[in-house]
Amino acid sequence: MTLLALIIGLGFPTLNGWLLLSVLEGQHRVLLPVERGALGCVLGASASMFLTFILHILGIIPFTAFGMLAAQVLLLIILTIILFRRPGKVASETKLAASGSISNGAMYVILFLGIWTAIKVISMGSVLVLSPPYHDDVVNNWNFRGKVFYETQQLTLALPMGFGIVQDKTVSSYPPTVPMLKTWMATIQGEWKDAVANSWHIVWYVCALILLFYGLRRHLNILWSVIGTYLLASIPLYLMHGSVAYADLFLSAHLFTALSMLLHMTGEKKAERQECYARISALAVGLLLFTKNEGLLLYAPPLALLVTAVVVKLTQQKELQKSTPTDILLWYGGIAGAVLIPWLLFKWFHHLPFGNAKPISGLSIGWQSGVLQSIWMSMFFDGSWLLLPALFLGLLYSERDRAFTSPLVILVSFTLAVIAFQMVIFLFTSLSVEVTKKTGYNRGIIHLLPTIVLITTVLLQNAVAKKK
Amino acid sequence: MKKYGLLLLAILFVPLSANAKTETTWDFNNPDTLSAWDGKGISAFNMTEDGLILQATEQAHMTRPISLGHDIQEVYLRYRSERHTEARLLWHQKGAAANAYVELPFMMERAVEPKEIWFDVTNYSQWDPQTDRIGILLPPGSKVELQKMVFAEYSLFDKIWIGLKSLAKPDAYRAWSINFLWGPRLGTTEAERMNLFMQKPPRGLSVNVILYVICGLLLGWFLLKMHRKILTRQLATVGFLLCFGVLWIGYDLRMGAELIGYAVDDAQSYWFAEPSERTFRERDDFNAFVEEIAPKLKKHDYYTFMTPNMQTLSSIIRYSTFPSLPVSIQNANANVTAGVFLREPDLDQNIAKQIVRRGLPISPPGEITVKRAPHTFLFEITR
Repeated sequence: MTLLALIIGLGFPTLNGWLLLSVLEGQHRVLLPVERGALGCVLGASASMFLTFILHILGIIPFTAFGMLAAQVLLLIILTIILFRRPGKVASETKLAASGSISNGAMYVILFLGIWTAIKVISMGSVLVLSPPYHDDVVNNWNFRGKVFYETQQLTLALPMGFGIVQDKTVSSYPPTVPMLKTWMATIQGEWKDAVANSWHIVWYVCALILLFYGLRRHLNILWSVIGTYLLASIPLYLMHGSVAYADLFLSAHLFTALSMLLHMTGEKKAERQECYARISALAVGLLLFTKNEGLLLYAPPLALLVTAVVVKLTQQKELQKSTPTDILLWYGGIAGAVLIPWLLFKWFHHLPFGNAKPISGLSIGWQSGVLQSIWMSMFFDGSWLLLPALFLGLLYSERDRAFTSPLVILVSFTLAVIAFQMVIFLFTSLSVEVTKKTGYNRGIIHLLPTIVLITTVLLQNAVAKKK
Repeated sequence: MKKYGLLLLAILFVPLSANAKTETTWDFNNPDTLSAWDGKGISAFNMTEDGLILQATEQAHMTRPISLGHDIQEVYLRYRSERHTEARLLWHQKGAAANAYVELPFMMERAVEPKEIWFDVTNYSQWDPQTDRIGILLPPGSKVELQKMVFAEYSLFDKIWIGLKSLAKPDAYRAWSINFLWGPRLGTTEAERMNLFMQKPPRGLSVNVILYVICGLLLGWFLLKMHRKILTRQLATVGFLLCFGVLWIGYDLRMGAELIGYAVDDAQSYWFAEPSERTFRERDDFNAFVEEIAPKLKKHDYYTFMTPNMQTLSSIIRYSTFPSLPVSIQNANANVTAGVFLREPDLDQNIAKQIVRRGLPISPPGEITVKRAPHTFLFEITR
């Protein structure tokens, strides 16, 4: 039964994600099948849960096996109809960089590191599904809410915490996507099983690696793409997040998709393919708002600015056809609005706070000592990131021409702006405890990590390729 | 060739130097060493072939002058104890008042077989490496056998060798591992190596410092070669990045081994252990107990939950047993039909089948339906 629950539970949202991406791609397929599968698993999970959320708050379905399956089947039918009613021939138009050659020696190293990475992922995946829940946010938020939804068969905001305490203003303000996915798994299983409910997280980890590989392949050869994927797979804290039932890695995959597809768009000359990448990026931006509160508070504003700036710049350079800029902005605005408006209305209607579990209004302002030192130690002297921060900053400096004057600047400017904004928040508000207690700052880096690794790998290749 | 020969010679000498630790040993089974000690409050002592058995009915201490001719960077103690004993290591700082001792509390665990403690004394700012008097303080009711004390000073080569050994010492899976991982640390004494991750932040130098130094030196070397036109820019970059890659892979192997170690620990203690013997990280057998009682709690809407470690465990039991909810014993009412008691030493069941705490009933009559340990059980009220 567990295997069947895993197949149905993981399979339906992934299939819907695949179909949704196929619909958005239209006749000009820019994604490779494996890539579409991985992205379908990430975006399909959030998209199908968003539909389930809408149907549930409209009172159409309860959180039962039948109700949640009905939402999946409904989405499947709608997407299939759209896909099959579309006229014209579908063409695969994925544009990858030249494959390049790999020496025998390099092959042995890749094989060794591949096996090593597989052992690590299997080990930590086993910890995820076989060990009891351990971390606070699992038993107080992500899994607990999923379990409450499952037991009550509804989107319960008043969480019974035991000991006569009912919480309705803290974690209930978080988007319910990840808890609902766990509820969905439990309804398919017929009972709450942590192993089944948690299975998504390690799958998302593998999806993030696949997405990074194909993201790199559009710019670099196979060897460099493997190197970049290995860089991400070797980061210990990222694997920790793949093996714990938190939502930060899930968010990182959305954010990476939003940014990398925007980057790929700039490398395209044909309007159809440009719009294709823009639509996928827009979908990721929209669903990002429904993964964690940071999606709206921290990432949506710079993303909106960035998308506008990219579209304006491409229009000035005459890289976009006449109607394309409007179409692109409409896609971004339309999808983001379609997700954001119901979610914000829901929050407003239920008096849920707009901060990240802590209301924004409750923050005190002023210089916070100890923050810089804590960030310095966390980034450069802990084992969480190996040597990535030093490598990233070193390459940003040594390869500054490529980093700041090529389209890569899209990712670089976003990453640096977000890090700077986070630092300002931590340096000047009482949220500084998230840094000094080492609880929050690294999460922000986890969100950016696939993007940081993509930048690092492209710059590494640039450094090696430079003759003078 | 000559410089490589010298380097090889130096490398060959490293293991020899590694044995150059200076240490002084006191065996407590040697009557000659006993006369130096001053004891106070010790009710009985007896020397055996293993060591010196001490009994104290009141607080007792024994101290002695110490003059070793070398600094003390580590103190080692081997002992046996009849019960858990919260003792203290005493030392006198040179120049301090005669009877003013600095006290370092430590736990002597109940042990039939000899136990070892490595005091990481350099961790304490009040430690005097040239202390002139040292001793041990025992609480009332102690019965311990002291077998051996060793005082050690490490040479530079010892420290380097221990530092290298420290790299392999992993941290355990902790509650904060989702937020950060400390990574390898370099200890400089055996005691520091043993206690690397016992405090937050951990002891020892971050290995990143060493790696940055190596990278800096490599970068300088390659830049120099490039400047002298021995290497092209491209070759120098590739050379440096290859070296950097080797360091990166080494670091990955070290951190990966730590993560795999988490899985191995969980596999041995939980996944493949018998249900009655399962333990989970620092929570001991709590999760196994909850797993055992959760099916029985399904028929109870509310249950009382009592444990000395309420703050950490209450959210886990609430999550694990939901929709059954825990309540505090003070707020228990007629809806509460069961009780979960975890390591609560003051509880008992009286003849009326009530749970009593220090003689006072705290529950209606019922049955203990799951008993994991004398003070860990599930109690279900009979109506």
